[in-house]
Amino acid sequence: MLPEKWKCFCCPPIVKPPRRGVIVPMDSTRPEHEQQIQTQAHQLLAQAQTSPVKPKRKKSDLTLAAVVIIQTWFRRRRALYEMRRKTAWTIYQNIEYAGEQDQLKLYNFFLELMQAVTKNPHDAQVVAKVLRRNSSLTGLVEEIETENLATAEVISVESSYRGPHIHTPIHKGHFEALIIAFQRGEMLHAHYVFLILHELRNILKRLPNINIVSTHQSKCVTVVGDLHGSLADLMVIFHKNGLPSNENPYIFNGDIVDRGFQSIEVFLLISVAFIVYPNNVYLNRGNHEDHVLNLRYGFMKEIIYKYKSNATRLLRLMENIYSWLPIASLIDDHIFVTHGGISDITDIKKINQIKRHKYVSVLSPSFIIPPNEDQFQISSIPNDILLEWRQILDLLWSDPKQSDGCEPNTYRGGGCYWGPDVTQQVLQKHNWSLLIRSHECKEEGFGYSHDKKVLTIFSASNYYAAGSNRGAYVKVMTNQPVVIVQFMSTRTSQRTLTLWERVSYVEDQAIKNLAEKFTANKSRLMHEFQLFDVQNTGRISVNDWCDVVTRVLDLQLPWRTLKSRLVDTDTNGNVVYESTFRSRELQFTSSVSTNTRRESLCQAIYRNKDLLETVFRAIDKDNSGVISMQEFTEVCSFLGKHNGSTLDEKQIMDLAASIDLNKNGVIDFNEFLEAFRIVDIGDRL
Amino acid sequence: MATIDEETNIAGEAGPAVPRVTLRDPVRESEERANQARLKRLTEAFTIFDQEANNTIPSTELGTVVRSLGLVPTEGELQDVLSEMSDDSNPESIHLDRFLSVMNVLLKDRRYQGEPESKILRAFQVLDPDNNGFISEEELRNYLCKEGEPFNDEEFQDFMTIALDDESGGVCTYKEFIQNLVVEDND
Repeated sequence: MLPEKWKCFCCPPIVKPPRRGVIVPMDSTRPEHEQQIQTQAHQLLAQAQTSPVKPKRKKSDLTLAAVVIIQTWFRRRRALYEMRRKTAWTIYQNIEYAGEQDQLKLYNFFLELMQAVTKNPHDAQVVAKVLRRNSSLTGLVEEIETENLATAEVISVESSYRGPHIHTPIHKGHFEALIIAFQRGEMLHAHYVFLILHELRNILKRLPNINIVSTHQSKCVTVVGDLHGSLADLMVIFHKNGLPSNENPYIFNGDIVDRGFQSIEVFLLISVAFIVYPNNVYLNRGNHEDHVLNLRYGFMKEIIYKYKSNATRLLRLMENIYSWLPIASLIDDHIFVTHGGISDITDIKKINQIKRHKYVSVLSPSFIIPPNEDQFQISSIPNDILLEWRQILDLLWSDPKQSDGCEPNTYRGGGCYWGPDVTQQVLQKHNWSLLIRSHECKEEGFGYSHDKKVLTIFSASNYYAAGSNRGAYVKVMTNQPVVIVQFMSTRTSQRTLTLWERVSYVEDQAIKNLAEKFTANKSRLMHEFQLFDVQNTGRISVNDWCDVVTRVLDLQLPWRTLKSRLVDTDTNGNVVYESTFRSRELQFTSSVSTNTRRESLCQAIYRNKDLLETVFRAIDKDNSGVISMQEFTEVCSFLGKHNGSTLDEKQIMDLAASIDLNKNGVIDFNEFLEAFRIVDIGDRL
Repeated sequence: MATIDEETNIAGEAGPAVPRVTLRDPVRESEERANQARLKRLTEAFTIFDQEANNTIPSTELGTVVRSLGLVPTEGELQDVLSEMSDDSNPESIHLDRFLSVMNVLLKDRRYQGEPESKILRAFQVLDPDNNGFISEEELRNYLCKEGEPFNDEEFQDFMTIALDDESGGVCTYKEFIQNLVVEDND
């Protein structure tokens, strides 16, 4: 079924063998003598070195010694690589969490601003625009409106279209045709996308909040974790585990979209599988099935790029569909499956009573946002509504923690950190034996917590970079322990990536990311470095370098372990701090003259690129890529206040003018942001 | 050079308050700094494997951590280190404090130092008695996976990926192999 270029690598589960000194001598040398053997080895080799004639010792002793020396030497080499791999992993995780934290700090900042009586109507308007992006339609009006949104009729299919054609009733043949088309890199025509999503929505509306799944008929069900737009991984899963069918049921545990470049294709495939087998394919909503996150994490960008003039309608329809996705599944009455996790208030009875589709965005449901711009102040929200919100928020956003208790998840800005005591309590209350969740990337694709009562399953391999992690899925069978299957999708190589390859791919990218961060913070870093270098030697101690970098970048990373790959050191072991920026530089159109003030402004813009992009896109309601100059400068200085950077309005306008992007009072913000790139030194335009 | 503020009153008689002598010992100070730096380095390496941020690592990761810090123990020696560091009540994980104290001793005593490149070459030559300059995959498998402290599948696969020279078809020209795996010991 898979064409040539998709290879599947069925990696055996990695279970690190307990390290025991298993000595298997060639004759019966007793294990206690192994230390002796080591010293003997030295002696023997010393002898062998001095006399070219073979020593008269027993051959086996010498051979054994040689073997151990080679094994020990190789294990050391290997450990160094393991260390590098793990370090690269740490970098990715830290940067990811820092990014998420940032996003949600901003979000909370917006909300706080909304709640306060603001003296600056301008600010509040910006915020209101951003947050009000979604439809706040309720009741009957919504039905008709959404019907209009979903209708495929208005889009005609040109005769030149060579892709697959989908008609109702949608059947297995369509599913297979789509698989082949998407693997070839084809795009489904907007007309058919709407057709499929329309069907999907109709079925979803009839579902309860919690899917009831039984293995009675099929004897098993497969749970798939985060896919994040990775078509490759979905293909590997189908290849290894078979296509969904009535005999081969699947549960997709959320985070189907965002980050990866084929989010819409993955979503469509899963939707079609669901339409064809509505009683054997189950969907759980993830925290990324939320337009607020799609703004920032790529799905919106993908849709706009692929579907252009139909993008706006398509996005609005997706928003609506998200709200109809069930929020959890229950297998055989004793295994609970949800995307994030649980919290101390999780209660099935309460969850069943929620009208889930009120929550168009789980992160920012409409009752938080005033319906029009005039209302800056939100009346206090009643407690029962807040609690209801928490039920859903916690299911989609929480993470497990080691210690007991339940506390707000400040990393993510939503949901809780819940401890083993909460797991115990909630499982007992509902008579469950296991909680399966996703939401967190795991190196092996899966991980157990809380005394094996919580299983995390993550299905997007190579999430951070090629070779960074495996993906996995879990097969749940009637009255048997679950079976976890790992995989790693890779296009290029003919065989499993070895440790060496995985390290170099993963590390390269991670180091690049760090180098970019350095360059984006050059002015601040140099300022701090120089504070420690009173005598202007250009060097500071390793300790000081590590301290500065940790503080300015706000990243807790193993800098000492990394430093050899990031900076130059002199013969005394001190860091030549200018070399921090040795490989990358922030570049923009060469026509712009630079002075130090401008340099820091440019760095500030680059640092905030993601956030700026998010907010611009939110303001740009018709997805044209263009907003007014005024809105543009407002956003920049607004974020500047939030971030403590200096994004001075006048400076920005000057800059935009000099790049000649200000055309008749509107600005193409994509072009603007593209003008700021971090490139390898020497790559001049 | 020592900075002596004032001479002590040797008799130690009670009198007006005498400023204490502060002797600066640059040797000691630089030792202190070195100790501090080493401590930070050890802690950093340890923390990379501390998944749950509770100052412990799983015992299975100890080998990687210890070896990446410059020690080259055999599996058997590693077991010794492990038993020194682990806690009977919780043998599955190792706490940072125990790790640091044992590692400090090991580093000070320069234990488990490892072999120079020449010794590794000699070791391969022992396995190649006819002095061909290479060893076949079969033979390597027999030695490395069945004798001494055997490799597991993963280790062997990683070994063979670099050891096998594509051109010479299924044999390991060990001199080149060793050179390919030379590592800059700047940690």
